[in-house]
Amino acid sequence: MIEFRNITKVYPNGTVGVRDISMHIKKGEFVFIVGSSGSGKSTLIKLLLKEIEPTDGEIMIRDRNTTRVKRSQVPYIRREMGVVFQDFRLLPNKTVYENVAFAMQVVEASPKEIRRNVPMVLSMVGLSKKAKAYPHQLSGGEQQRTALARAIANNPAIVLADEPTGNLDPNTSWEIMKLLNDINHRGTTVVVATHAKEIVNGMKKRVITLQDGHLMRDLQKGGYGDEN
Amino acid sequence: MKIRTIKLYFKEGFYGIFRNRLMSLAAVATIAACLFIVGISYCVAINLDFMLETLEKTMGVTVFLEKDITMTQIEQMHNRIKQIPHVTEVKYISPKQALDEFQRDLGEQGGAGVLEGLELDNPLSPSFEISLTNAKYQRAIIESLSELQGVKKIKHAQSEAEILMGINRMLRIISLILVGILSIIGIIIIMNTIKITVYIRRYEINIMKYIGATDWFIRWPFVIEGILIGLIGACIPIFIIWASYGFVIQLIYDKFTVIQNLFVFRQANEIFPALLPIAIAMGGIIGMIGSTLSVRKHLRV
Repeated sequence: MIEFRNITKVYPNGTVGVRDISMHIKKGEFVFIVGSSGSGKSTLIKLLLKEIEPTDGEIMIRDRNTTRVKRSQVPYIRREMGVVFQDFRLLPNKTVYENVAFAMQVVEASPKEIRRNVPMVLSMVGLSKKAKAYPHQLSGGEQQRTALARAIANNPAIVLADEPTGNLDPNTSWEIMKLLNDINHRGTTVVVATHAKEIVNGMKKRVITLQDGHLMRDLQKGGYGDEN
Repeated sequence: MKIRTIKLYFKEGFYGIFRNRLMSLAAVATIAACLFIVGISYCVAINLDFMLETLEKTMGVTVFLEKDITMTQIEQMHNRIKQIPHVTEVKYISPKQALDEFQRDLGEQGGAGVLEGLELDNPLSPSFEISLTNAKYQRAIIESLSELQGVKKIKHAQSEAEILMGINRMLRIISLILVGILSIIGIIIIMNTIKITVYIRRYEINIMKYIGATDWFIRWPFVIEGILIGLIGACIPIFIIWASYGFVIQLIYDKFTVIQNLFVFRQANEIFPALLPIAIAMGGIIGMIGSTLSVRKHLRV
């Protein structure tokens, strides 16, 4: 599903984002990418989203080389992935329903599809009753669930989550992780970049550990900072 | 591109105008000023053209001949004048005809009888009345005429025609320069207006990019915003000029009664159906250029 081949990213100012990373994430996998700040987690996510270009190496997404594509193709690569951020990134002047519907309008979905899909994903994340609320009327967990609903509205093959629980308390964090797990069980590949130790240890998923831009460990059913 | 997407673009573009009202207002005002000048100079130019046309029709060249000229000579001259380029019509007026006409004119003004007794010793000269295709050939034709033998005097409206043409030319140059400057100012203000809208919506744009919006999906609302500003700016001055045109013409007639006898102004409904589309096209194009440039510069998505 996602393959990194000897990816190196050196930023224009000389900072090394990641160095010589190779990994393969299969379809339907749930993968944590862990590491301290500056270890290269965000760089990996940005590379996947084509926000930045690798200095060296190749990235394959769904058997397609996305390393050298035209700028005009970038939106279509992004449509393969639903993204969730630490800061939720909801539109403040739109309701929960509108925020999710907006994601579908952007990809020119028909009003019929929008009317069918939005309530469906909202019920999946347990926000059916909050459809008419605005983001500022929601708790952090509810906002993140809205963001999740938006990420899966277009049925992406991959869901990327960059520190999805960074702004949430432990209980709410677990709710979000369970939701991500549910999404994964429906067949979506899920990649979560995080440094929430407890969660990673509790979930028993594949864990890829980065340190100073290098791939340190890649363990099935691993834990955060696992030494064995 | 689907129709519902186009609808979305227009909705967003329209909201954009209201998101930063002050800048939109400044942009609309500049374009309105620009097209106000376009409108007024168009009105003046079209009327001057009309006057020139009338002048060309009414004021040909009159050639007075020596009194002792023979009929054969007149005949030869008639043929030669006819062959001068751009001469459309040559009409011979005998001294008798000239006198009759003179008497008739005087009679209308209550001076009948003043010229009585002149029939026997007519002091008037025979003449040719020459019509031209265009006033600008007058000088060349006069030169050809003065080479002819038996010509006593040439009367023409050279200077009047030249003054009008000069005014027309000058007006066109001045208004072209002003329109050029104001168009550039209009484009710059629209660029800034769009830049501000882009800034206000940067958060939304960022989200749209992650969701997978194409560049033009993000750009279109801004381009439409610019075009709408241009169109609003175009319509305002044209309708103001349209509404006040008749009033201004009446004012000119009242202040300068002399003009009424000399010239006729064009009717409003002869001018504006042609001017409105020109203005709308100009406003739309200024808006489009401004917003496209701005979007290209500030929307590196």
